[in-house]
Amino acid sequence: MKKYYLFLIILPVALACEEAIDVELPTSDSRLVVDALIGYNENNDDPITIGQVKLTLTAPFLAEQVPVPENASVQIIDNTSGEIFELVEQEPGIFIDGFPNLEFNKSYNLRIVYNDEIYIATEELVRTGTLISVEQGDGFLFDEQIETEVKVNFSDIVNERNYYLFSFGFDNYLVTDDEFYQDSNLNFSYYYENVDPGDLISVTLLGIDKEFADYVDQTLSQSGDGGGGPFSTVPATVRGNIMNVSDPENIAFGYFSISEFDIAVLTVE
Amino acid sequence: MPNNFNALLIVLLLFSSSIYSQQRYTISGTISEAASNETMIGVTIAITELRTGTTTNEYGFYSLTLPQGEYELVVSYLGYGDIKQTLVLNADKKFNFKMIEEAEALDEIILTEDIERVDIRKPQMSVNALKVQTIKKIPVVLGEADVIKSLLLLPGVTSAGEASSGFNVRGGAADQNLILLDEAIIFNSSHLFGFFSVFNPDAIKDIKLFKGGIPARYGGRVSSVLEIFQREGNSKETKVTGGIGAVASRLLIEGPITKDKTAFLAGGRASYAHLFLPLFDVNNKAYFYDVNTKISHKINDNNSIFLSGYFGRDLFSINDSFVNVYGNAVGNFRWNHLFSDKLFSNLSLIYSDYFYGLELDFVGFEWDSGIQNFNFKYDLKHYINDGLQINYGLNNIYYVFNPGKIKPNRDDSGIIEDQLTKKYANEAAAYIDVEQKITDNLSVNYGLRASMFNRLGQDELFVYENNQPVLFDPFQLIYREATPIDTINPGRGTNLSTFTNLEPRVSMAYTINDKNSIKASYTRLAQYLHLLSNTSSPTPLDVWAPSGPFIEPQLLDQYALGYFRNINDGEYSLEMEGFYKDIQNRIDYIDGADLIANDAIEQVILNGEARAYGLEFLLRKNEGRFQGWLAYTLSKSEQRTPGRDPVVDNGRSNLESGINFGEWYNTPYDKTHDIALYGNYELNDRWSFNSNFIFQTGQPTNYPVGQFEFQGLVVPFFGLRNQTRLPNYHRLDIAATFQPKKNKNRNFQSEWIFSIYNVYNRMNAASINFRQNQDTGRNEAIRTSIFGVVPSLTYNFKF
Repeated sequence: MKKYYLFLIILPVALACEEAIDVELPTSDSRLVVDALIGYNENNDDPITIGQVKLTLTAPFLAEQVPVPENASVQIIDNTSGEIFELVEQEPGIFIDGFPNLEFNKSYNLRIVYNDEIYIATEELVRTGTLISVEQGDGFLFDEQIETEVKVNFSDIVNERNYYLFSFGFDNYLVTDDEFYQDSNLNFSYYYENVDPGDLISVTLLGIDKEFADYVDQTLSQSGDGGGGPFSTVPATVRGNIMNVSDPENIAFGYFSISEFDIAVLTVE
Repeated sequence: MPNNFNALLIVLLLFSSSIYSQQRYTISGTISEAASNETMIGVTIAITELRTGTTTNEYGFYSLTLPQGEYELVVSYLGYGDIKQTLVLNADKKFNFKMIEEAEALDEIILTEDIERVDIRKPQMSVNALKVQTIKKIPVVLGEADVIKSLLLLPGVTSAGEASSGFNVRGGAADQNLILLDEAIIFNSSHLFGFFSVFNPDAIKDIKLFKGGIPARYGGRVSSVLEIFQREGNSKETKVTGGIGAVASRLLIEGPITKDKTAFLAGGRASYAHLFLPLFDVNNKAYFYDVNTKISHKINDNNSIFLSGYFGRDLFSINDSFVNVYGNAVGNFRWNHLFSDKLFSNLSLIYSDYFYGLELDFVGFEWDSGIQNFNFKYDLKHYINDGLQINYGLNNIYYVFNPGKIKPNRDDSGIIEDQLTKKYANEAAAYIDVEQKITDNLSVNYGLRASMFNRLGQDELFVYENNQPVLFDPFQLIYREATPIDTINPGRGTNLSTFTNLEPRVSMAYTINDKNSIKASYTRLAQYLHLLSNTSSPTPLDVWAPSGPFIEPQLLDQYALGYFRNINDGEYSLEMEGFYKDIQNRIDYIDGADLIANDAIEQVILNGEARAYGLEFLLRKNEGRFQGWLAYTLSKSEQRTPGRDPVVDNGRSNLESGINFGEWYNTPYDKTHDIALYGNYELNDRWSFNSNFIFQTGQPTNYPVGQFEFQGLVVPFFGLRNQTRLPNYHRLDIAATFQPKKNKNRNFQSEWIFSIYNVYNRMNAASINFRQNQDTGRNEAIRTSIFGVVPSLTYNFKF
């Protein structure tokens, strides 16, 4: 829902003049950031688990890069069996290998040790809906020249309240919930900008829980997706599910989420 | 407190009746404009010998009860010739005066009486009054005369900037303003997201903004009352007024249906549909229109009826796949009845409706939301003698809130029709308000309003564990939405919550001498409706929510003290006021609260408090070719939301952090300094010049203290709320009005208004946003400014 209202904000701002300016910004202590989105797909009874745990540190807003923490260790713990899976750091701050085969209705801990402090997040695998079709259309919203319509049709999981995260690639995301299309198929159009014939577009549908849905919504609106202007929401610090059990005051940012996903690929014509 | 107050009331009433001794008679009547029969508000009727007098009420009626005798009566109003009449008062008498507008020639006008000027003897304080003539002269962006933008030039009133809906009075929020158009409540005062206000100046007779010392006849909003009366229409001859501007054009027709008895007025205003066209391509529309209508009928000397309506809509459409419509609709019927020459009554039946609709074809749904209310008001004004007037009345408002209804807009849409739970409430009030002159130097207004708000049953109501819809997470130190443990279905007939409040109001004026007076006031007000808005400035899609099981009514206590002085025989006047106000139960939102289409708003709000205090200063020059004012306000507006009492959860006591760690923080409308300078110079009978300059401290905002990365997104994060400010806001506007010479001695009158808004092209920041530049990948601070320098031309006519 929320996304669509953003068009309202565009109108007055379109009249306005935007300019990059120099401002002096306050700063804060550096904190750990955890970006851990793990996907699972049954893949015709050959289940795959993909994703990564990416660790970074916060930086002043105008800094060009965010630093990577050194000497951190990352584990996934199967809380049912107590089994510990040590993840391997492939590149600085990036842990890709060593994930267990995920199962539904089991809780998993992400455990990170950094700077002698322990950070923990606990999640379960969340089911997703089914992508029925992803097709190119010929509609547009604002500008026929730069927009490419992609029509998405997917079916909701029946008999329960669900939240979904669409990843359209190119850092484009959409969060939706089934409040207004419970147990039904939803058709909607998504408009890509500046894609060319021959480009490969992948649309990923992830099942997420309400907490993560709120988190992504807030992250999107704080990261400038909201367009700004006097009608943008009051900025707020987006807090995830990573808990510093050694020193709760030294908060960490980011999120640990494990989702079933469905994916469809389309070549732009 | 209320009991003592009642006792005081009784004592004062007894005191006043004991001075009855001499034989007294009443003169009363209606004062109207000779040319149009339009009744006039605020006309002064003065009795020279007794140094007393009165002014006409909102319906042009006056009544004065005086000891038997012979007096000279002077009826006066700015721009109209004084009427002097010798009165032999030996029986009750009726005088209906007709005021004649003075000749247009400037040399003949000696501007001496001015409704905008403060009456230093009246207890009423904290009022900003503006004449429609002044509003029409104030330079505004794109040349469209604007009621609300004009009010911003007076002390104590600010707004978030150009493209922002609503206005803030004495550090209050925009939803704390009661906006009344012909006694009907208007819920959204802006067109085009705040570029223009919804009031057509041609159709307006009188505007008053009460910032404090609010009389007991008003209630329901804690910050201010903006009362606007529409004109009744000319019952003598048909007249047309109109204007052509850069953004919108106006046309208003008025005239008699039955001469001297029945008049109509119909006015329309519309913007040009291509307003935003250059920005996108041809299939886009963005426009607004509004229609004001009124029929007034004088049945006889004691009875008049009025039917009036307002309908306004804004429409945006992009390529037919996105359509957005919103606006107010108001209809009302009023009946003025004179029970006697001392007792005036007005009965109002009002329907008002605010609608917000959206159609999104690319997702396949339609969305309708809004608020409807049915308002019954009965007000009596009892003019007992020249030193005592008692106003009393009843008011009942029934509300239906529709937070949203969604339905599919085409067959292949997957959207299922759904209605977010409608909410119902009733607000009832009774009041008594006494205006009393105790001695020649001391006048008092005191009153009491008793209000009762019932939140009525609805289809679905969530139930929470420990009755707590918001939970505190003691590990993450943040607030989270609770999950309802049950949903109940209380029927419409049940009563979910009842709130009652006694709202005493007192104001007094002590006149030191002809030049100086001191005024003081205390006001308590209750507000039962809350605008759910988590943005810097309200948006049309913000939803109103009634008080109820999880939302307490806002309660205001305001104290104001003022010093008023007429300088140089009234050529200048000086008003100085200090105020302090305190609001209980101001709701605040937990971090990241999403208010749009939220069916369980209680899960994202916490109860807090607000306070504001400040000093206002207004120096006016009231006479001569050059008139104008300097307004300065120094103020502070803050709010805080401390943690709730610790709850024991699993044997562990959770000490809550509150919002901002429970510390006071600036509201988004805290403007430390607010300076406005306005001047109007009449050069000759053809040219006049106007200018205004505004300076405001930048509004509080949030700059990020750092960034982090998540899934390729750059996410800024923030420290405590509202610690930083936007750059200061200032601008200068100028305008020139030209009246062609041929206007003289002919029926068709016209004028040209040339204006330049923001003369020195100041790029005032409407907001500063922080984001990643898509091309360079670097983070940037982006300043959004709405208008640079804007010249415009408006043509007005009248025949």
